[in-house]
Amino acid sequence: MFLKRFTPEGVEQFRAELEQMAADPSREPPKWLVASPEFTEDHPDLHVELVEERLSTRSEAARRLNEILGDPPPQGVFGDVGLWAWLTLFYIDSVLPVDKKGVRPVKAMARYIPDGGDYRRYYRHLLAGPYRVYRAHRDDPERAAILLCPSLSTPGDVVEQLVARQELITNPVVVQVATSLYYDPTTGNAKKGAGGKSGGSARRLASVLDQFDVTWDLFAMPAATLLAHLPREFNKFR
Amino acid sequence: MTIRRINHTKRRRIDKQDVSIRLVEPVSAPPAFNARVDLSKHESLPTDAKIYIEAYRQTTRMRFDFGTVSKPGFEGGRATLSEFADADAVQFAVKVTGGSGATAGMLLADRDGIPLTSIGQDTSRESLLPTCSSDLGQELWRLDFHNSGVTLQINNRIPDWKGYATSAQFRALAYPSVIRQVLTRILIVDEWDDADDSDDWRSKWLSFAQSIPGVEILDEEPADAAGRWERIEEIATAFAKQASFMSLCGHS
Repeated sequence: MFLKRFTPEGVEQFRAELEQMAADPSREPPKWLVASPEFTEDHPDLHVELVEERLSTRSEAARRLNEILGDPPPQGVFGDVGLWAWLTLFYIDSVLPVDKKGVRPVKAMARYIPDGGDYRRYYRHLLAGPYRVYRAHRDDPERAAILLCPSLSTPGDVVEQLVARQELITNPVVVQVATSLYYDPTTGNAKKGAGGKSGGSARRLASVLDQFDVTWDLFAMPAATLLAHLPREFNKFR
Repeated sequence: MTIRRINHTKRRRIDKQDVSIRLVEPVSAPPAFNARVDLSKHESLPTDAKIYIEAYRQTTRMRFDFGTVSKPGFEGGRATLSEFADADAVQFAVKVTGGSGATAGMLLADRDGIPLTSIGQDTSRESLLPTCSSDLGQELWRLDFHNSGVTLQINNRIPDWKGYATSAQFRALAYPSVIRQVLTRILIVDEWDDADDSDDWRSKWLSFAQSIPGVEILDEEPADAAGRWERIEEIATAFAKQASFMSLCGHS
């Protein structure tokens, strides 16, 4: 089917449906909404035919979305709540798959419908988040492997800690350092211990970089220099 | 209680009057700008130190090379805000960064929260409440607090949202609430009560609040929360009164 987006009423209808799913996880997602003429509209600048498929990782999703939304994407795509909410429903089996218990456990609403007024929570959206990371590092997406490798439906603690600081995740030096520290190329996943609150974790990296930001221009430092300046607690990941 | 900040580093603060960021006219899409950065007060900066100008608004951030201390300027004389659909409420930061040796990558001087001005605009009058449009779902407006100030967001589905934001009806309905929200953030959440720091957006708001006719001039803002809540109400009420919102909306 062709790409669409929700009207404001469509967004609210989808939100109401998700709230009902949260109350009753055995409830099926409202797939009928995807093509509803009452709640959707054509995108004015994007005429793209989408194919139903399963996207398993954030990287896979980001690459597919980059193809769908074009390069460069139309202005305002990232802030288009109706578009991202519609894409969530279109890819609902990837974004909110049935778990081992046979249900779809709905979590925070910002994962499925971007909070348009609060851009700091925009990165929590399970499709807009990885897409934005990919766009910021499209010259070398491997640099952002630590942010793009996790599962699409469960990004995990490392992503949660780093994407909360949007000024960090658009910084190529910082993202290169995070990937160097926490990404294990042999498994394609985050290293053990990268999440959580212990020394050297991604949470600690974000705090340390907040301090460094006062003294250093984090965009201008070579990644190797930044790595060398990190405290000893990061040695186990270096 | 006055909050004091200590600069532990030797980073220099660039005066705001030494930086201007101007929209290149006629305004195009995407918009372009040129800049002037005067570092003559900071003679000790290394001549090879690099100057960067960063433009940001919400999730969008662009960084531009503005040459070096000895040779500042954009290649081609201007820079294009290619990642921004428009120039509304875009803010800028200037960073001077060590270019070589022991200071390579070190932040040597900076200035944040610089607004974009148009040719002919009075740069001495700085907007306390820049306005931009956002997808706000079913909300008409919302305030966005960030490090360098507060922005009024208007729902981008409202046709002529700029006209809407400046209409008498909107101002009358929203602005007293805006005043309350902003002052709550400053006085209650941040516990900020210094009206004299011309570099800080909170001080500018407090200074503005104290200038509203009918607002009592105090040596210090009340120390306790109850006193601050009362103060916020006093200021919001005085603001509505001096703006004559009821009359503005045709009510006696």
